[in-house]
Amino acid sequence: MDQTLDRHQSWTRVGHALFIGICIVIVIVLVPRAWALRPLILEASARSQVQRTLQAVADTQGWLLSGLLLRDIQEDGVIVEHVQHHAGPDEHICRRILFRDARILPCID
Amino acid sequence: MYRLIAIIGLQCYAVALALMQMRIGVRTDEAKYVLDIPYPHPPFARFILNILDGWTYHELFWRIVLATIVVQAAWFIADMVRAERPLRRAAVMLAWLGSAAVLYQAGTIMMAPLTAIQGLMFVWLLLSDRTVDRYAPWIAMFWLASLFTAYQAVLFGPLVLALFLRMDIPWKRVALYVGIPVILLALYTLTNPLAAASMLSHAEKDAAQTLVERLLQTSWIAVLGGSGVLTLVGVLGIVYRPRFGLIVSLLLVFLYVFLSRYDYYAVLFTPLFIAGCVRLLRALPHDALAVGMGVPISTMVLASQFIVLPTVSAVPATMALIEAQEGKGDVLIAGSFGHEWQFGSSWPIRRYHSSLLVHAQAVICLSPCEEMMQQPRWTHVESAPVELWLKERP
Repeated sequence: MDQTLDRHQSWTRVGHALFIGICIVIVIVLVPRAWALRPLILEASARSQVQRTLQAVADTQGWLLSGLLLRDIQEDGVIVEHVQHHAGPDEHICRRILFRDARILPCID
Repeated sequence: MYRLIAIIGLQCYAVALALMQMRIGVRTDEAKYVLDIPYPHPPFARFILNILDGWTYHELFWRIVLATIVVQAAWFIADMVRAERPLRRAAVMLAWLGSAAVLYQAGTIMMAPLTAIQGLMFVWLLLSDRTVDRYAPWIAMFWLASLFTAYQAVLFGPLVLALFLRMDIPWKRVALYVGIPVILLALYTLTNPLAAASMLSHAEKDAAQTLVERLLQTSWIAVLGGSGVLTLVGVLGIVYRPRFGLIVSLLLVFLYVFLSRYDYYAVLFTPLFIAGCVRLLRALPHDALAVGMGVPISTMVLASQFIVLPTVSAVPATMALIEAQEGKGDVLIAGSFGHEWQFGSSWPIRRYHSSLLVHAQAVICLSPCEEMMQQPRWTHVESAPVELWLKERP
């Protein structure tokens, strides 16, 4: 009886630790990304500037907006991960797009 | 032995439903998930669906897997009424299996049927007379996975809260298990502006409709969710033997569909109607057979009179013609198009613009593109199901 109770308690403890662990991993992954994109939430002007720039580059390049994953917002432009989704493996390319003229530059690591 | 025959029979049903959807082809929402395009839903399920991207039987595999999950979930319903006679248990299973929502959505690669199954699991746990306290953190992980499968899972939040409140665990732990996954989902949304923008555009879709039109359409989707008979029995069961989680979840699903109307949300109602049905039949077990028989019959009536299947996709035939040419370069599409074109294509897809023709091998015109008539080295393919232009090989 005691053994069964112990087994149940350890089962619960393992589950609890795993739940907390998964939550912490999610926070570690998401917080830096949310921090990088905070101007989108805090500044209406940044929001419209980003939207305008991405739309301009999508129009000229024929890219789909759903293939542009916003990664960072900088003083003079945005960093995006560009994916052209199709059947089979997709190439993920990091690109820097300038606000001034929607020029596309490679990312500098 | 009887159970094994039933499992095999159900599996045949699941495969038939998957093949029915396979015949229609991949739709834009399905393509979004199998290609792991990051909107509108969080990444958990679409990441898994994308693992086999590029495999010839990718679509068929997931259709059969998802149809199997939805159909074989009937065993959980049987467990909810396990005290009843076998024939009555079978009747309640039939109410799930025969509902219009399950029939038309089981073989789709969509988030709605997956969320419905997650909802059904919460209903099963809530209505169970077993003690599930020791599984609390595992249920919390399932709740977290449900939320990171699709935003709609939040509609079943009241069921989850009711389930944890029933357990003999401290309230702080209830808050942790129910609340933290919701906070993490909100945090995810902040990192994915496309998801937020997509949700807003969905909500504005039917903004011009009157209140009465919206109410009627939402009610119609609720009817599809239970083929009318299960809808009625389910609502009666929830009202007759009220339970906080069930009532609030039902209201939330209704409100959600009211604000953002899509026929495929019908299946979100089904687990709640099953819960109502189970609660009603526990009081009136003799009516189980009538419900079990009534649901498939009403589904047949709805199917013959009101339900129209989507038209067969033009994507595979068009892409086969492009592939036959063995060319290289992008495929350009003029006009509004869905993600199914990306799913069907082995090459990158771009929106048509005459300046991009130099690097393209094909142009698909879903809206008129008169400029193509003047382009040298481009041939119009008469046999294509849509207007198709291929670049002549040098």
